[in-house]
Amino acid sequence: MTSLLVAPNPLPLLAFGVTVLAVLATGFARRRPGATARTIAATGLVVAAARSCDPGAMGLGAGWTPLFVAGALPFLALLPSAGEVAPALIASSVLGMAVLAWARHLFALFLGLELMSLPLYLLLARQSRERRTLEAALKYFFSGSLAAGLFLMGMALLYVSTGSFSLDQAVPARPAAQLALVLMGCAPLFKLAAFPLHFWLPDAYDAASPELASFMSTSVKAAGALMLLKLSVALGPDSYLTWILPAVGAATMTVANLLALRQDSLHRVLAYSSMAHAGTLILLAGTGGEGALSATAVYLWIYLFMNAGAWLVLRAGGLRRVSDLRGLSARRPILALLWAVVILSLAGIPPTGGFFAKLLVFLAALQADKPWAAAALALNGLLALGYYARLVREAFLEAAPKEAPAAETEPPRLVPILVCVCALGALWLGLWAPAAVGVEAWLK
Amino acid sequence: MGLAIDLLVVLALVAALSLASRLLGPRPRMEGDKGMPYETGMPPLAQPGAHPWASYYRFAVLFVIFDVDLAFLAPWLVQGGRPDAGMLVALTAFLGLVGFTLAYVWRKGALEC
Amino acid sequence: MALTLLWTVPMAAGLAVWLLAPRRARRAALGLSLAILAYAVWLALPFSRGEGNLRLAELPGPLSEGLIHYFFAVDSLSLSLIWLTALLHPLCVLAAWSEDRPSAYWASFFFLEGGLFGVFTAQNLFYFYAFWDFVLIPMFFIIGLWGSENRRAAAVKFLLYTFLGSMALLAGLVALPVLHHRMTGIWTWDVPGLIATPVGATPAGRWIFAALALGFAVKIPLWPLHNWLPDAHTEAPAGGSVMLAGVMLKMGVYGFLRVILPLFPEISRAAFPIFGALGVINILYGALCAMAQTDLKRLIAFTSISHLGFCVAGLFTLTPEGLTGSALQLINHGISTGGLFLLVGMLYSRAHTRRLDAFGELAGRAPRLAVFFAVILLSSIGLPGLNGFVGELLTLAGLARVRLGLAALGACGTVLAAAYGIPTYQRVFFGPCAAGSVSERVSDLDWRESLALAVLCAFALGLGLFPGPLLRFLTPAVALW
Repeated sequence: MTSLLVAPNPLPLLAFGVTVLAVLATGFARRRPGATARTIAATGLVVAAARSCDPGAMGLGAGWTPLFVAGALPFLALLPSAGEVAPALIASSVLGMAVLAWARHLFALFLGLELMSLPLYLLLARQSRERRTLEAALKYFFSGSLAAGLFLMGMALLYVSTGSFSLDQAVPARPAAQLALVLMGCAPLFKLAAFPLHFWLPDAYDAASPELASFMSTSVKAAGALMLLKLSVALGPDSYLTWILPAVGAATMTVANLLALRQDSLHRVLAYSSMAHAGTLILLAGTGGEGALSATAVYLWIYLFMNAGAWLVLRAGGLRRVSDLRGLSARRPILALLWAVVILSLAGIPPTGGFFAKLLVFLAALQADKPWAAAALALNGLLALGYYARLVREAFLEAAPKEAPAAETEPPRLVPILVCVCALGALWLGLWAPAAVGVEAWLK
Repeated sequence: MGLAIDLLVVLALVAALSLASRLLGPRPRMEGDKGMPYETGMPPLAQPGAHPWASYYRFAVLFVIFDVDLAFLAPWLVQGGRPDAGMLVALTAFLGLVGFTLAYVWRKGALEC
Repeated sequence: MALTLLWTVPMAAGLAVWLLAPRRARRAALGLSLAILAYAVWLALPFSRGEGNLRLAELPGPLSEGLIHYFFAVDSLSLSLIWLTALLHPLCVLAAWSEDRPSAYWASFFFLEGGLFGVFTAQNLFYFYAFWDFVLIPMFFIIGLWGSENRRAAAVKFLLYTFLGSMALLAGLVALPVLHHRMTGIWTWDVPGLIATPVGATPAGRWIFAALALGFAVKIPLWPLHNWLPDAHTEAPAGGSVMLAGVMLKMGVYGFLRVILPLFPEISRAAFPIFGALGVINILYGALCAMAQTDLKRLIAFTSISHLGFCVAGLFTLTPEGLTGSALQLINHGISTGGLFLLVGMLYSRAHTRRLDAFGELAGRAPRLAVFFAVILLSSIGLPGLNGFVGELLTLAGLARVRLGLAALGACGTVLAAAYGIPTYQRVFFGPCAAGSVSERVSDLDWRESLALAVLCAFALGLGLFPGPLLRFLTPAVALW
């Protein structure tokens, strides 16, 4: 039975499950659990991810779990050491992603999707008791349920036309089957906040703490991209997803970048920035083929560092509004410098990793014979620099305000270290990856 | 193409039937017992649309866990023949999980009102 | 190894200077930039022993093996531009000795210098583009942090406007190997591997040509894409303007020479009417705008547009005169405009204004300043015997061979240059000056400033009187006719 539902050798998957149970089990202790639950969650996830990664190739399966776990680590590391609920929730969310990665069957895919999403709604709702937060969580929940419903509907349609729930078989070119895949595609597109399924995004990211937003925009987007790739591989290279996806991706990027230009909240700027990057990923998924797969994986690893870095800078500086950045270079020069590195990387300026990621997408788009997609990418590169330049300008060029911003609660000592790791990682990937990765091998 | 025709036929049928019943059927009179909401034959205690108290949902969700549990166990009970070792392990693990969950929510006090 | 050192040493020097205390940073910056200059000059020795056009090549593995490929080499044009960059850097340090926050300021210059060396030496288009974009960052901070009143808006405008060009360039540069591979089955991003690629003959090749040309034209800047330049030059600090006008504008022309002309010879030949006309428009438009300026620095910014028009018009003639003339004009413009921006920076640091009508009677107050200003201004105008003349004459000669009418129009530019240059000089140095004017604050040059300008004047005179050696040196690099 198991071998039908998930890929062979699912032992590491069990390790993820055992981690969740172990974290929950700390709740039985009489004393307040302290940091135990957090430590168990982090250790368990890292071990499980290490067990499941295959150095040869990331493929479309277990190789992705280290990416998901890496995106969850900042959140785990910065949790206040009380209670086992939040660590358990995030561990089960990662478990859901792992199920997604292993899935070869639509049931498993759906199970993974829901297991990933439900803890997210709860985590978001637990952020604070403010009305705003609950509203955002509810919005996220309802629209997420809609996406799950569409996925189920697509599943049913697919079963009607093929008589099977397996992902390994080729999907026939009948309209009902193709429609089924489009419906199912709505679920990952929703997770990636593709236009026009993005309306929940600004509220949710605004309500989330920086480290939760970082998890939502790295791991969750990676899982969404993986799901999208699985579906587009199932559909084959000649399906009409190969032009729907690039079109959706281009629209997503453009809308996100235009909306980001006029935001005052840093959370919203970064939310739209992550939406723009998700648009790039969708476009990339639409170029099809093995190349898209490897390029997406490299893109996501680079994106993990730069995006998490940006969110963690917000945490380290206690920054909420764009104007809070003023005078950052005078107040905290090193933090400002790291901020510049991650923002320039997000903008795709060499020598950072973001540039290499952008280059890969250009190559994939042109190799897939979609010059209009390359033109959209170029236009969006420029639009995006419009607000990234503003973020750098506020931090470096604007004078500090007369009175310093209200003293924030001191962030954990770990935050600056994590910021350093992320920024240096983004820079290092930009210097090392281009020379190390044989790009042309992907472009067959 | 076939799908489109199917859709059209279905829509047309639905529209035609409901229109016909509207035009031809007797006007229902909504008064007395006939106008009351149906709830297992008992006279309703509250106005329709009133919310149950919050922990009702908690119990409902927990109940569903055991309901689903039963749905998984039933085929095993009725399939006859001797279960093989793999099935036994799978079901024990499954029951263990459900038991763990029950213990956890109990410990957390989720079963109290 | 020699070329890897060439771009990594300035980067390392930048990091080192950044960490130094302000007092030491200036001396360190001067010393390190002189050392880099010495190293760049020393490169002539191994270069002269090399063979072929591209020398000192660093090429792991065979040519055209894979896309991203660490391939650096120089030809005589690259080497000349490297010398120009390395020369202007210590002169900036000397002339702008008292800039505040010197550690970060001079560190930015080293990063800029390293990036520029990378642009001029990279033979693989991936690295070319990476360095091309990288130089925007230090320049953004130089303008935005050390510029004058409107520096922030000018820095952002500079970044976004030139990034528009970068994006077009990137699209073109990526499309090029993809199409090349489709037609030949070879993946390569090496410039020598792509020479006379079959892509140029396809309809898509024209689009690539257009995208690349757009990218380079913004940098030059070619009319009508020149809007970023006056603001950026005016608001940048003196050293920033020198590097911007002296070297960074050259990147655009260098791109045309290095990428567009060798890779797309046919389309380039066909595009002469467009680019010849745009070049002449640049010459005339820049000169006319310069005449209308009241801000000294803005005036010089517009003369840059005018002078680079000669380069573009000369390039696309694809004649020996035009091409060598443009290459020479690149070096000459770096020297004369670099010098002019240094001079204006010195005036500004004393008087805190750049308004033309605020000055007067400076010849008596600051005689050394007056002499240097005269020599460099005349070289910029193109007086025979000084360096500017040779390049302009050659490009016009090339233009005349192809289209006489355009050459005649271009020649008007030199007349207009005199028409904005001479009155400006007269106003500033001999014009009337009210009591209490800023001119009274202007003291004469100190020895550092004099030394910097003397070096530039020596080059202006030397290249004006004996252009032969440099011309012969540059010719093989631009022999595309």
